Amino acid sequence: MLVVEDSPLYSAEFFAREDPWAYLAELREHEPVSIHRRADGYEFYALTRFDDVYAAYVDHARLSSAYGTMIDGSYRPEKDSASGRMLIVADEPEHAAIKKPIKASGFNRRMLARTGATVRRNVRNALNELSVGDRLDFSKVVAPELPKGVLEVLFGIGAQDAATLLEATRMMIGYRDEAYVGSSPLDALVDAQLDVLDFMDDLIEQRIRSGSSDDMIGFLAQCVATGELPRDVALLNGLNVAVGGNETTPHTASLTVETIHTERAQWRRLVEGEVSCEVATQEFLRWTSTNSYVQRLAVSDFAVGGHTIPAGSFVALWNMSANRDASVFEQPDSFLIDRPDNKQLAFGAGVHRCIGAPVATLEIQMFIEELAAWDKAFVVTEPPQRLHSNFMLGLTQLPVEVVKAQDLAP
Amino acid sequence: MTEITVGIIIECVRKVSNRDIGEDTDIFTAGIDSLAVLRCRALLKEQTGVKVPGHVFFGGRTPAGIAELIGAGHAGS
Repeated sequence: MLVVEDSPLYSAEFFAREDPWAYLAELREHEPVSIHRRADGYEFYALTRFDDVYAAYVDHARLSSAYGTMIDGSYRPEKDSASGRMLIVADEPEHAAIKKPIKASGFNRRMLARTGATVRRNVRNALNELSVGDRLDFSKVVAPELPKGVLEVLFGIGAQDAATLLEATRMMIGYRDEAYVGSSPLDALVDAQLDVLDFMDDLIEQRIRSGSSDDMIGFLAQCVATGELPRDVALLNGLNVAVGGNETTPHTASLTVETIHTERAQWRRLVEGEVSCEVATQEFLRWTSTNSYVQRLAVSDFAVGGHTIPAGSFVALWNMSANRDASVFEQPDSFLIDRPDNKQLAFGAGVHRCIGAPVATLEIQMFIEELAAWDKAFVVTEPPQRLHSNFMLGLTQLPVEVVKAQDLAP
Repeated sequence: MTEITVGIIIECVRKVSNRDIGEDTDIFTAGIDSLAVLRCRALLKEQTGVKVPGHVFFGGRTPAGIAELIGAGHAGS
């Protein structure tokens, strides 16, 4: 098995400036299961093929989430301090017990309809404020409108509070990127994390007092009040949902605008109604693969792709690589807006599949519907800046100009 | 406004963790996590009116270290 010393897969810089897609394609082709080491002794097994990544997702008994889902999330094979109490780092049976109230209160059909409507309204308002000739950074002006709408509904807060919360979670996740945090990254991460927890704790307190269970945080607060849920668990999962929702879809939206810019002819087919927004959304999700990988820890030997990964090893499931696997996707390296039967793995699979996947999908769909209906369009004017992260593929800067949609006609 | 002393910090950390903490105990090695820091910070604010930024706990690590950082002007209000 290939062992890569000082692997570029650890390097945020590599993801921002080089071509991680090509590097992963090479691995997928020749060394689909490989070991990646760093000078300090940390190592993980990288899974790059769709079938292997999928097999790893569904084998949650052998591959634990409790040790952190990010490389470096927990430095040694020790459980994360939120282990078993926060959705993303809980194994069964705790995981199912936590998932139930969150799914029931935050991601039911009624809430989905409300978030969809709020996101659509926010996006439409943001677009309507723009005039032909405006130059702006899409990633800062429009992209945050997507998760903002979700926060407003799930946490029952106003647009201003939602914006503050967004800024804090952005620092937590993007703490390795100076665009977000300046020069004291760890301090910023820690301060932001505590501020988000504080904010959630206040909301829980308010809802316990008011007895309101109209939104997700209210429902969780009532579970705390009746003793069904420890307060810390409600708090940690509020944080989990906010971070998960905030630090993903704005990047997907920015990358979507960049893709539309380079694939104008395909986009026109959508605008003219030849391709449905639902189908296109799936391809935008595959193509952007915002969450590049997740990490697991093998708690017993795990056989995959003809190898056996020994118990005690970290395993990274590379979604972005699985989403370009030629054995599953025809012309995997081409963006095909009408790609049929799209099996994209952007949200993972199995019991840990992103709980917000239906909301995120809806956000992107609302977004492209509004873009398609808009009488204007974005033209990218300068090369975008990519986020310094190996975990989230996103843009910290996307300079665009607003033009008349009809001016882009062939 | 009361000044934040090593003694007050020890008292708050003990209260949220139920552990015996001395002025040179590394509170994170002693099992304090982010949530305990959150509770501890709330107690400190209740008693002194000062909201200590999270990085002061993580940078200071011991009650003495935390008090020193606060003295160095890291604390907000």
